[in-house]
Amino acid sequence: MKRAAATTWLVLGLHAGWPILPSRAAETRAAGAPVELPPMLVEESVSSVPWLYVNAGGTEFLSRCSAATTRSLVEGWLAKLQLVRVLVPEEFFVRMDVPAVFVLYAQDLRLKVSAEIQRELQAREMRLGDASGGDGVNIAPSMRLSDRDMHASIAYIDEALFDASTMSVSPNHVRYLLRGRVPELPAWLIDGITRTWLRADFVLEPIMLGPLVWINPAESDALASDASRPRALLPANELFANDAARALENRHPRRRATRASTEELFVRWAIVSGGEIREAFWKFAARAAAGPVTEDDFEASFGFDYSELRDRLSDYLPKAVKETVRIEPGKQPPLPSIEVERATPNQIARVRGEWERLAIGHVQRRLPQVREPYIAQARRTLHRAFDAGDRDPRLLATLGLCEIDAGNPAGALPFLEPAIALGVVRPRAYYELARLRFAELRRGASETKVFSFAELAPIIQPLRQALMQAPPLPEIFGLLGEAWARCELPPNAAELVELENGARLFARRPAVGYAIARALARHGKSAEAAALLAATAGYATDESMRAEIARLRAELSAALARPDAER
Amino acid sequence: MIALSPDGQRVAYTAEDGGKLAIVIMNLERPGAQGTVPVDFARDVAHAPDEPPVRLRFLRWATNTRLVFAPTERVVPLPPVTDNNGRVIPNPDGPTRISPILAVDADGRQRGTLVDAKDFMDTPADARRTLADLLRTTTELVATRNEPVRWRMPHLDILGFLPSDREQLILQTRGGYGMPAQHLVDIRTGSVREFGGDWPAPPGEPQVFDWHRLKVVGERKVSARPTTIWRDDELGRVQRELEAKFPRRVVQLLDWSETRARVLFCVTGGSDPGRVFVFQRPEDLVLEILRHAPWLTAAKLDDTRFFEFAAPDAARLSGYLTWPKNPSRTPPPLLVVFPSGFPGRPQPAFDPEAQIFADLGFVVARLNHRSVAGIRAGDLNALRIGVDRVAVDDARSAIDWLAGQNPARPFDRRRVATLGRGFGGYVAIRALQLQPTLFRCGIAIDAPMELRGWLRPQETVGGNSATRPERDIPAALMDHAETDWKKLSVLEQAEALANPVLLLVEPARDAAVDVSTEKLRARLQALGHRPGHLALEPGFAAGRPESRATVYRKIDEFLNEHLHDHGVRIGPAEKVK
Repeated sequence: MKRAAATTWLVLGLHAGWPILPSRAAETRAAGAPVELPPMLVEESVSSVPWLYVNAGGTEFLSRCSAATTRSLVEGWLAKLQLVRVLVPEEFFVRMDVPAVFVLYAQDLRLKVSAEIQRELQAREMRLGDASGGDGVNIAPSMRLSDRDMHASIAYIDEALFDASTMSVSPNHVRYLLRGRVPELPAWLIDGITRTWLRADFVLEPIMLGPLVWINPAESDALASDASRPRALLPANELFANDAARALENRHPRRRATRASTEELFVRWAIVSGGEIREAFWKFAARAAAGPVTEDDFEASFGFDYSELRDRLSDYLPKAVKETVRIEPGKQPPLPSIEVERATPNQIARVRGEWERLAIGHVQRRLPQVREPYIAQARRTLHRAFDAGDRDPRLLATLGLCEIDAGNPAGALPFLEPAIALGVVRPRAYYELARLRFAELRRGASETKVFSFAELAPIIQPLRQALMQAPPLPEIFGLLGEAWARCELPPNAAELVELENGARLFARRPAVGYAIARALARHGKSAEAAALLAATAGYATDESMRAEIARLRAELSAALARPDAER
Repeated sequence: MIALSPDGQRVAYTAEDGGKLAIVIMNLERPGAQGTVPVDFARDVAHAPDEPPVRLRFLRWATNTRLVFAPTERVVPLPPVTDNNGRVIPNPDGPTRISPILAVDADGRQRGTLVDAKDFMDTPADARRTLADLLRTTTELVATRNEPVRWRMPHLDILGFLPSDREQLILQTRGGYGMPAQHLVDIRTGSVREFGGDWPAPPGEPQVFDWHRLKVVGERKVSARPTTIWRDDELGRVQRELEAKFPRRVVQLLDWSETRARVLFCVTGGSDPGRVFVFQRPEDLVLEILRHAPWLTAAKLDDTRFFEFAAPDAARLSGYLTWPKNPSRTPPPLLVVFPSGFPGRPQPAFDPEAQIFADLGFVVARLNHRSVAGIRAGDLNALRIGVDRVAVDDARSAIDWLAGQNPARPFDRRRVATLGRGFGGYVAIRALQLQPTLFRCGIAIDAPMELRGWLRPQETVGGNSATRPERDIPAALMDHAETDWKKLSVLEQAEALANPVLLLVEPARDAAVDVSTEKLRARLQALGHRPGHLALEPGFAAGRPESRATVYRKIDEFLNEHLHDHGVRIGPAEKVK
């Protein structure tokens, strides 16, 4: 009975829309698949259904469903997130100080595409004619979108069929939470957990892991019936290879399939083994996030070596393709008390406006011809509160980011500056302001021009403020590095620690490491810069970055080889 | 034995199936599909049922779809005959050699004997006197003559396949009446024709021969861990690539396809009994195709690691350390296992017995002798004078080194026992005499307690040199004019044996061992000791589970009594002179 309900829920496509809609749908869209556009919410002036508001578990919910449905969904959602943390400890997910946004609407408010969009779509259809190859346009009823420092979801709910117990958390959402974590998690871990998630059932008897699919269903079936069947697993040193090594890896389809399956097998084995093995796994995962891992690191966590890991995984494989495992969630803490309130104009404008702002970027990437109606709608929603005198820094920040996303940076400054002056919690807002100011400062200046600290302070200061908020963004450290590299004064001890922290958190981002190394080199920290480049060079996968790093390393080597007096 | 087909798509390997030898043919493109071909169909009626299973001497793919194999030659002597004077003399004919060469298709069909030694049976040149004689086979000749016709069956040496036509097997006969001759055997029909060539015999171990390129490509080296010195750059590169994939393990290349796109290899070491893989080089994947003991899973086995270090005199000492998953006490006691010969073969990477002792809660150190890769010139004098002392001193060095290397994983240095078989058992007991404070008790299995009698059994237990048992030690190293036998003897120094011993002996297996063991027991009893003793059943050496279980239970009881028993006083012991 519950299984049937679960299926119903999946068809409804609640939160993130998966599987009927991939999250960040269009980014992973296969060629020929239709473009998914975000829904456009019915204006308050058209519908009298009130918006309800709940702030719980780091998410702001804005709902046009009934209070009961809203409460049920929020409680169900929070309960599922607790189960998520049974499988993956909290510390491996991204930490965000900016609340997530969740917009709910019901069947009696079915959305319509604006007339403007309809016209544009019809024109497009006529232009493409048959050449479109089925590349049509759909309005997705549910979708998840993300920004650098927050994420938002919209979900269409048929209240007559809704059952909160059948909700689940999509693998793509889990992937998003993992990908945002800093220090960044290695790809093998993110991919392994995400694939494991595909087999997880949080509905029937939480938490169940269904049988592993090894390479493909046919191969899995064959292994299940013959445990001695030959199998290729990726050796551990290749499984845990760093990004640069992976970039050079053999691209044979069978090897790629083997990599994906081995990553999942490893994660599953560790979780299912439980006890010491599971603890060792998370310990090793944390170590792998901090930098490249060695066999000694692995052994320090697990107590055995790489070759034995391969053997153990191989021995476990025939069981994994057959077994359904129940993970005991243990006693969960009580859910926070939830208050469903009538939403204020500020809440409506901020939450709804945030969603609509995010839609701009998505449409810009997928179908830029129809972005104007989305921009107009977001502006309309946000300005409704602003024009009424609302100066909530969160609203101001969203207004500023909306203008950035709309391609109007000049229009963003009047909103970003007061938002930041009021200490808004919004890392991206700080970054965008600093970026705009830095661009202005550099306008017309030569690439080698050194600026005074006074000139750079309006850039450095907001970036440093952003460092106190989560999530730390790599672009903030990159820009900070660039700014210090052009500054006449060296960073003081505290500022150096910030740069070093950036290098540590984003060791996998050569662009960040390179920018910070340039700043260190500029201010006489050649040895530190050289060490940083040596650590980050292994992650450089594109040719130009490799060349830049090599050039700077050569300069630093030459400088370090010279006697002190000449430096 | 195991072989990869020229296209790398099939593997054939030998396996025992219900005590009988079989060949398993596996299709790597469709891994589920494999067939088994019994080898015993080649046996003739003369084969005695209690003989050990057939072994193969040759297994190679002639083509991608046809496999050629040959069991080891079996010699059946003919009964003695009586000469004209009524004396019984050896039969001047024969012996009968059963040396079939067989072939089978990859799908298990079209299998049968191509040729056998009897097909090449020959007679002295003068036995054929007429044109009709020349046209008769030897069997026909023997049958049609009234007077005896001498005959012999030659050995059949397989030299390889004709490169221009791999369906032609090149064979050499030798040991008959005629000169050695080479033949071509059609692997489809079994028809034989003369081969005018002078095809060289492929070199055997330790050389590694490339059957596709017909050249020696490497050489296996005996050392603490098996190694191959490659002369072929590509195979050397493959070896390095695979060693990177299997760190801390021993990778041994076994065979390769014609283009070398696929390479068959074996991985041993660690806790695992060993696995066989195919390296699929275009995909850069290693396909695991076989496990040596699939019922032993890696997670259940006790952790085993190879170790190697330089002794104080710079000699390389090595061995394997097996750590118990569930130690019997904290810190766990140590069991030092000596190799059964000298310098002996290197300890195998996986040893089921070490796993058993680790399961009993012991840390198990299996030592190699210092000379396992060859005796250093500098060691020669010390070994000639006191091989026992060198071995025991090395064991002490190993214990010190292991303790120093693993401070976080200590073993109980006050509870160290020794164990060994044959010569290793002798060393295990000598260790108690030479280092009684270090080694608390010892177990000797079928071990001599007196070397002179063991190396010269005819002096003590009778017999002649023809029946002198083979010892896995260079006798000349110990048995020379200056040898002080008394100093080497456990028996002669029984008074120095104060620590408990357990002597496990299979009666009548080795008279020298029986005699010296009985004497030692009597002497120890006279000294007031109670040496442990168990008469082993033949099933123990044969590996029968029930016999082994009895013995390991006895060993466990012995070790418990003398190492674990809380009533036993463990502390600095006085050296008994």
